[in-house]
Amino acid sequence: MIDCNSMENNQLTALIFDLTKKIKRSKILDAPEDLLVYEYDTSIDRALPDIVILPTTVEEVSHAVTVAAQYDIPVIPRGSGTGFAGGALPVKGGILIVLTAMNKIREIDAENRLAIVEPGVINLHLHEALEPYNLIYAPDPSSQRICTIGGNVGTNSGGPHTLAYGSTVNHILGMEVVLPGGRIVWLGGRQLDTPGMDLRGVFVGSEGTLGIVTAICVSLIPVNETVRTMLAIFDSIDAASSAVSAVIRSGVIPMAMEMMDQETIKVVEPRVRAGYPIDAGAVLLIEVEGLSEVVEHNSAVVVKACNELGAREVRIAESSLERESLWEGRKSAIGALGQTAPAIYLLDGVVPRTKLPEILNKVLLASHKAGFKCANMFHAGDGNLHPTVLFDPLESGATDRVLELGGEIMKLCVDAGGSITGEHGIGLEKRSYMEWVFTESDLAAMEKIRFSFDPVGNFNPCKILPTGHGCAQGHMQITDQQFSIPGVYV
Amino acid sequence: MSNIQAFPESIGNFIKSLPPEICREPEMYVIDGKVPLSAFRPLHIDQISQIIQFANQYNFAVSPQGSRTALTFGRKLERYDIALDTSGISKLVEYTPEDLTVTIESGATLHDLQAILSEHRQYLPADPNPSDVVTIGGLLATARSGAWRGNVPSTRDLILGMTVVMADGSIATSGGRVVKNVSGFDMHRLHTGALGSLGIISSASFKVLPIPERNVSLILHCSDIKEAGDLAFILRNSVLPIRGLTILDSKTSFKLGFSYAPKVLVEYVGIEVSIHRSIQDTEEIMRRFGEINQLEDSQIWAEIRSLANEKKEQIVLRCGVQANNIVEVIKLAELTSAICTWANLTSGSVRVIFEDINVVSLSKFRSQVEGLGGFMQVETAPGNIREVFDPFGDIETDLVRSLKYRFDPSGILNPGRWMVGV
Ligand SMILES: Cc1cc2nc3c(=O)[nH]c(=O)nc-3n(C[C@H](O)[C@H](O)[C@H](O)COP(=O)(O)OP(=O)(O)OC[C@H]3O[C@@H](n4cnc5c(N)ncnc54)[C@H](O)[C@@H]3O)c2cc1C
Repeated sequence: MIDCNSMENNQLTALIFDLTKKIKRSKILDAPEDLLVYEYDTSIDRALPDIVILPTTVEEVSHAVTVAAQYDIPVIPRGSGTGFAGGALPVKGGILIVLTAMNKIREIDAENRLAIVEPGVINLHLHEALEPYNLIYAPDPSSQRICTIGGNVGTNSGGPHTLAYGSTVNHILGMEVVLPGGRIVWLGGRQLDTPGMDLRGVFVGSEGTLGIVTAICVSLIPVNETVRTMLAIFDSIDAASSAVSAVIRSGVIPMAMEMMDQETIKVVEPRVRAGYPIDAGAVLLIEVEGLSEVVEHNSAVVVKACNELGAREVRIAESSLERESLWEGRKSAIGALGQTAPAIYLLDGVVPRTKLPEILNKVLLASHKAGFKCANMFHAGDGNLHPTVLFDPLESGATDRVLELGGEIMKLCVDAGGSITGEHGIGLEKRSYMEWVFTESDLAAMEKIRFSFDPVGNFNPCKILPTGHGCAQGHMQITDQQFSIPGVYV
Repeated sequence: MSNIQAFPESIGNFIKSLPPEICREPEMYVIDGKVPLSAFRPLHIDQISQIIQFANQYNFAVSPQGSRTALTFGRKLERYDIALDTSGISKLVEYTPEDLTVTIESGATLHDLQAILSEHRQYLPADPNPSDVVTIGGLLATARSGAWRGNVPSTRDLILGMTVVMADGSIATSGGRVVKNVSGFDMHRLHTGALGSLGIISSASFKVLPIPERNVSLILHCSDIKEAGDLAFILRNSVLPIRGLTILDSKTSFKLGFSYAPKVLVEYVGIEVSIHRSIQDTEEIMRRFGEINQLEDSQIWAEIRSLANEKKEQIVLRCGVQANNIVEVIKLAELTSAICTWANLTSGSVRVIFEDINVVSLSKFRSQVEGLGGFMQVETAPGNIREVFDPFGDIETDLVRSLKYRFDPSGILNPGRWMVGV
């Protein structure tokens, strides 16, 4: 494979010439100032592509992939670039295929409860389009205002409602994919459980390493009769995290159970005015849905469980406005935190729900020791932590120390029997942690999947797997070698 | 081809190296009339690994089997030398009720698992045919589902991780034991539904759910199949807590002891008040249709599940179409002389049973279903049919070949089940 960052000018000219055989020149970007825009996603690293393409049809995507194969250069799919793991970074250069211009909702079939969308459709736009049909597409990442459904498929996104509905993979019936080599196939279909191996299932969450999604058939579910949103206010993060388990123990699985700690509340409340008490140790945002009778019953169970764990108060949103404002606080939390420090570093780890109190304490202790403030707002019901470290990248050595702290926190999750990512993916960032969780033979088996789809290894190289594909080992080394300038972080 | 020459000595020596209690009588493991050369019932995952390593070295074809209820799913095996009975690998590995997670070995039956979970009022919502006798490995390898699919989360939705013995005997794990996890490739999804052709599933982790406090099953009488379809649509579009929703054609209805007319069968789950409300709302809807009966228990669902495995020689199909074509497929099946047809509207799946059908009619039925934008897959059929009629229809083959080539280069795991050489 050619390391494209060293691609000769005349090679680049030939490449563009071949691309323009089927793709309009205006959809191909190669000017340095244009490329710069695509140099980063929401992770800590940066990398410049050699060329950016903004296709609008599957044929254009397929052509670009075919040409890339002829030139033996990397191909990297990208949505909105909101990924936290560096999944959309062209670390070996090559062609970055940005799918944001493929943004049509092609079909909403309410009768059969499905929709066909292009990969660049913004998650929220689909939610809005479905409102008149009284249907929803369940995955609702907190970034839904900006992230694409193609990106959600790439990372198998979760969101607050994953607790009840599961991650993106559970809501994808099928998709059209351009495979490395350029062949166009449908994996899955318009129905559940199509015959053949579940290539759909293994593709979702493959972070752009197995192909490019160019159309997605999503399944839809009806809006529930009643929704009730509650805010349980606790004096300590310990009590709040114990309440999470207590609720589940009571036999009720809420639709969502999100936690925000004091550090987060202090930052969010003055900016968003969501109604979170500024002196609380932690709050839980809990939502129950269903028949009105069931909601009545389940919210009583939730209130009781929270009270037993010492909740100072459990507030129930009285109007849809109040409900929206409670959620607005949660969904704006990352942005608000981003305004309080020169940079933030957001982590994603999972622990068994019952270990939340113990691990949260250890996370806070580790951050304190490393000399950083750490805020926590996360999907507590799933045990999916998002410790967010506030720091100043211009302070000498700070970035390295933050990354080290990140590693330490991930190790805590692994040691607790958890995972190094619940929804953001491995990307570039966590490749070196894979060995903490998986053995050599686990990784060898995963590599077989990758090579089955992409025998050459040119699709999104250096992502997910820690070895192979001619990449440096692990994140830190790549950082040292290629990215000396600290990035813009959220 | 198997190295038959080397067999007597190699396998003889191998058997000697194993604890005697894991060697079984090959005659107990006939598939499509073929007796394997040898049969093993390992008691530990390392023993599976040892057997697979041996088979790989001498190129013996291995067929993993659990409850032996789905061995005729897929094409006829091209080679079959060793039966690998997984039922001895059945330990509970880990269960944390408060985390709603469980890890269990693949030879445990679904019944075993449900018994463990029910002590904490939890369950894995899976209702495969023929019943809970299926092993966890078999449940996953065939990805079978029933009336619950689409209404409540299924095995495919709840699988969290898996450990697999690969074709070279190495052991590989993917996913994990926490309820949310996107680390690495989801190999467990690939093995779910791969019919044991990419590896031997040795254990799996699931997210489990609380058992609903109450459930009720109602049978709704309809005058014709169109009315049954309309009714099922109304129910599916309601906000009621449905777990099972099935349309029965007249013959199936009759077979199950009801009148010879189509029915809709619905199961609601939840707390007392939601059951009460569901019954009330259904009665209201039924004013426009016909009679409604509340069933005493949920036995009927078990009876439906067992239909597909009632007779050895019957042919069972699973068709998939969109909800608005379900009734059309039921009618087509009736015209093609099906003896039973029932459908899950939410998942778009129609099961059809034939007692006797020739390949020409089968092909015609498939193209009619495909004409409606759907698919038709043979789930069970005698070997002579599966030899000449492709059970799967139009599926992606290149990627499957590529996966098989990398996961099982010598082609020792259920060879031929998917396609020639795969
Ligand atoms: C404020 C904020 C809140 C967030 N909250 C959540 C949350 O609640 N839950 C959550 O899961 N994530 C969350 N994220 C992370 C991020 O939004 C998700 O990972 C999202 O799915 C990425 O979508 P994107 O369009 O930005 O994809 P990108 O970042 O552009 O790409 C992500 C990955 O998908 C691949 N990819 C993109 N498009 C395609 C395609 N068409 N075909 C194949 N592969 C493709 C890329 O190569 C890359 O590996 C949040 C991010 C931010 C900034």
